[in-house]
Amino acid sequence: MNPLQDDQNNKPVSNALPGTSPKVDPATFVPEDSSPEADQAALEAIGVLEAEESTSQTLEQAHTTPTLTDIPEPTPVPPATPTPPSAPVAVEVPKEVLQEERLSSSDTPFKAFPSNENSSGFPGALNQAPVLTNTDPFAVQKQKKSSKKLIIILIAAIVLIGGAVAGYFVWQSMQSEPTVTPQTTTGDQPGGTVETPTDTQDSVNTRATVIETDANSTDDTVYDDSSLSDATLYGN
Amino acid sequence: MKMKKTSIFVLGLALVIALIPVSSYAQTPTEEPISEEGCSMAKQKIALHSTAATTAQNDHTAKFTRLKSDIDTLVSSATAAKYPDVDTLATARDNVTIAMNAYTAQAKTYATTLDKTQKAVCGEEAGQFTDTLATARTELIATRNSSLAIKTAVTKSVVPALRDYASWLKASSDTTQEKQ
Repeated sequence: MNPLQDDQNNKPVSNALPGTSPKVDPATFVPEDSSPEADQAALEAIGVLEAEESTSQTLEQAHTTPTLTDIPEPTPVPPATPTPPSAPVAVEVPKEVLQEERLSSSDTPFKAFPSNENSSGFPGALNQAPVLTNTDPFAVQKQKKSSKKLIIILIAAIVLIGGAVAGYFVWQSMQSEPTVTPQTTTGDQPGGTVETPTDTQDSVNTRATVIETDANSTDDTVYDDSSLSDATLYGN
Repeated sequence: MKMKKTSIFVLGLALVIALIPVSSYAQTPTEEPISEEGCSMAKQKIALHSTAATTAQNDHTAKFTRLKSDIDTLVSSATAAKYPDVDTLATARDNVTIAMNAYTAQAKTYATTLDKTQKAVCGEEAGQFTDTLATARTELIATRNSSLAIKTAVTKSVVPALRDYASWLKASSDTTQEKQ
């Protein structure tokens, strides 16, 4: 009897299709058919599972089923029989080995898989799904950083504009205020300070002229008698 | 001779005929009663004038307020410089302030009168259009005079006081230089 065929009849193993295989612990796996041939085959499979080899080598062995080729020694199995049942077993091995390697070799859970593993023939969900979900926190952090930078830039711009406007008004008010500078005098008041204005004869004369011109430039034509004259109101 | 007399008579008659419509046009608005249509048309023109008067009042007030601020600044600096005749300058400033307040009140009165004229019933009785229009004309003259009063206060009072202050500054500066 072929142990591989027995394994194929075994429900947990036969149901271990790629992507949907249940987890079967090879160490505690006891097939229903406890024939010596099946036991030996199972032991061989366990030996393969416990071998600490690289993932690629394991995968190659799983595809080529080198361990299964040694199986025919104790059992008279026709060499022409295909080995599809071994594929599910080989699928189970790399999955756990990959998980162990992933946990032991990387401190961060965001390490991406090598590109050759993606082309190993396994379903994409096994290799790609964790990578996509683990990169999301980076994207959120980048978005937060960029939004913080934008807010800081906006606040800085507002502060600068406000400062410029305030400075302008302060400067304007300082210009309109009269400046009186103290000036030290000699003679009658030695050592004393007398406040003298910055006004000079020319500046006061200039301002007087401006005030006079400004006052006389007011337009009073609206108050002319012609505004309410009969000719204006009743004429065409 | 007859031809000359005749031609002179014809020319004189033509001149008289030509002057008749001119004299009648000049007398029409005041002596003939105002028609309803003419009254409503006059009200529309008064409304336009009222808007112009309000704009002029705002412009005048803004300009005179700025002038008063400049004069206040000069009075303050003259006080700080211990200008002995600063009271004259302050009095001139006060005259401008009084004239400004009078103008503001008068302009408001004029605006109110114009508003009443626009709303008055067409007619010549008391309180009607012709009567309110006469009041508005009186207020127009008063408003014009109040505006002129500000100009007079600035020209005749403030400016001479400022010239005196400038002269004192010159004399004070010369005295200080001589002492040094």
